[in-house]
Amino acid sequence: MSSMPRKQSKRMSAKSKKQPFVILQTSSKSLWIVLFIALLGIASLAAIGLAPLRPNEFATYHALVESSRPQKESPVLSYAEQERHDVRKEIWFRKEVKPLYIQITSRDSALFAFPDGNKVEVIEEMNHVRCLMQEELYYLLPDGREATYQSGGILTTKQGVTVDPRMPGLVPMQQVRYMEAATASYNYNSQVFIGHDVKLWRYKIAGHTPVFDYSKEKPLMAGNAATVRFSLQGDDLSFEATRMQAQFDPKDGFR
Amino acid sequence: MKKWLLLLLVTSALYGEETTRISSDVANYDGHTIVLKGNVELNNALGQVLAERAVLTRDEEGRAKIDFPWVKLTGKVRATLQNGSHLICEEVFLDYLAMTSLFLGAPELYYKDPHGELYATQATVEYREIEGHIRPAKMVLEGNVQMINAEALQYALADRVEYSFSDEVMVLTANPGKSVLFYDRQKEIQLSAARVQGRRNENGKESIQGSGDVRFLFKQDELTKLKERFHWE
Repeated sequence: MSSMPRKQSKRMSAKSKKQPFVILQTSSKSLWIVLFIALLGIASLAAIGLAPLRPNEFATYHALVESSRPQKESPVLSYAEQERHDVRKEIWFRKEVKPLYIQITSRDSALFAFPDGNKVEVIEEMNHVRCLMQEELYYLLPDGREATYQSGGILTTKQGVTVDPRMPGLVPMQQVRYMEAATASYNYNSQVFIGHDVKLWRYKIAGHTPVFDYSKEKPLMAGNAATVRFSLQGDDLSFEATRMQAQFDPKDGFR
Repeated sequence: MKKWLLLLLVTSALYGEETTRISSDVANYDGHTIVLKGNVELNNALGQVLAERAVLTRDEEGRAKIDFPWVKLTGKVRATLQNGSHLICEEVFLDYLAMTSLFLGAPELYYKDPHGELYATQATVEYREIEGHIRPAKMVLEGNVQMINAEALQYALADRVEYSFSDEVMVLTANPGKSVLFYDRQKEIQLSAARVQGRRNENGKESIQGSGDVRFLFKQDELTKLKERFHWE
């Protein structure tokens, strides 16, 4: 400043008086300080990139974090149980036009509800179980062919021939599966039924209304199995049996 | 010759005129088919059939008198009848609607009863319903057919054998260029022909006729073939 001409320094003083919002004029010393801080920051970032933390340092870090957290509560085993007597379950199974009927009865049962992960599992253990299941509802034509309702409400034979529902001589028929089990379990979540020490029969009888007395009906098949398993989920009524013995009898009129 | 054809009784057993009982380790039913796996056993009044697997298909159209008229047995099929006869093959197809049964060997099926033995690549039996009973009408054996009547020391090699139960006529035929070889060692009858027919006449006696290029003395290669097939010295 002392080296500047007087006129110039006077001019600058005048300027600063006229314009108070003047950009800060830093001294060279301040500039060096700013540059040093910037370089220090850049160097720090480089160090992090060039020298990552070692695994044991991560472990130490996480241990410190965990130790600072409150302790989790230890899990408690809990379940609910309910005893039932003379239980009857009725399920209408939607298939094509006419729904199918399923009935499961038991003399005694115990219902268990217990947590399993994020959900509650509900299982019913049953004794002296009877299960009636309509497998198919169809019509018997006068010529012996069978016809069922397809999607769209059209009645067709198994060969695909359309049948007029008002056709005289149509006989409503049902194919039924009937089971008796010493014990059984039903999982409400998976809708899976498993019977143990099972006796089973298959019938073809007249009518579409569920029938509960088969004492006068002749079964097409009679058998027993160590276990029988089927699911009520979806529209699949298939079942699996283990150690099954079955007896097939010819239909009436054939020896 | 008729003694060889007790095979028909096996198929009657499989069809089950009487009540048929089936058991297995596992059974799956999907509303259309029953699949049996593991120690499959089929029993009725005539005998027992064992297999590794069986598939019973339901008659959806209600045409048959049996609810599951199509049965396929696979895996070391063995049938044992009350009369002591045995059948071993790889697959059996029973079609109650068409009234046929097909037996397949891998590589050959084998049948044995107290009177003789029989080998073939496959056998087909056709049935008829007579007065409410299933009765065999015709049987056809095909593929390297070998017939042994150990009791009467009768041996036969053919490519095809057809038997009519109503007529009690058996016809053995060979493929073009080959010959049926029939040998009765007891009576020293040698017969080489394109076609050999055996029939039981009204007196109950069997008669055998050859047609085509007939020879009553085997060629050396034919005799060798018989010795090799039936393990003669």
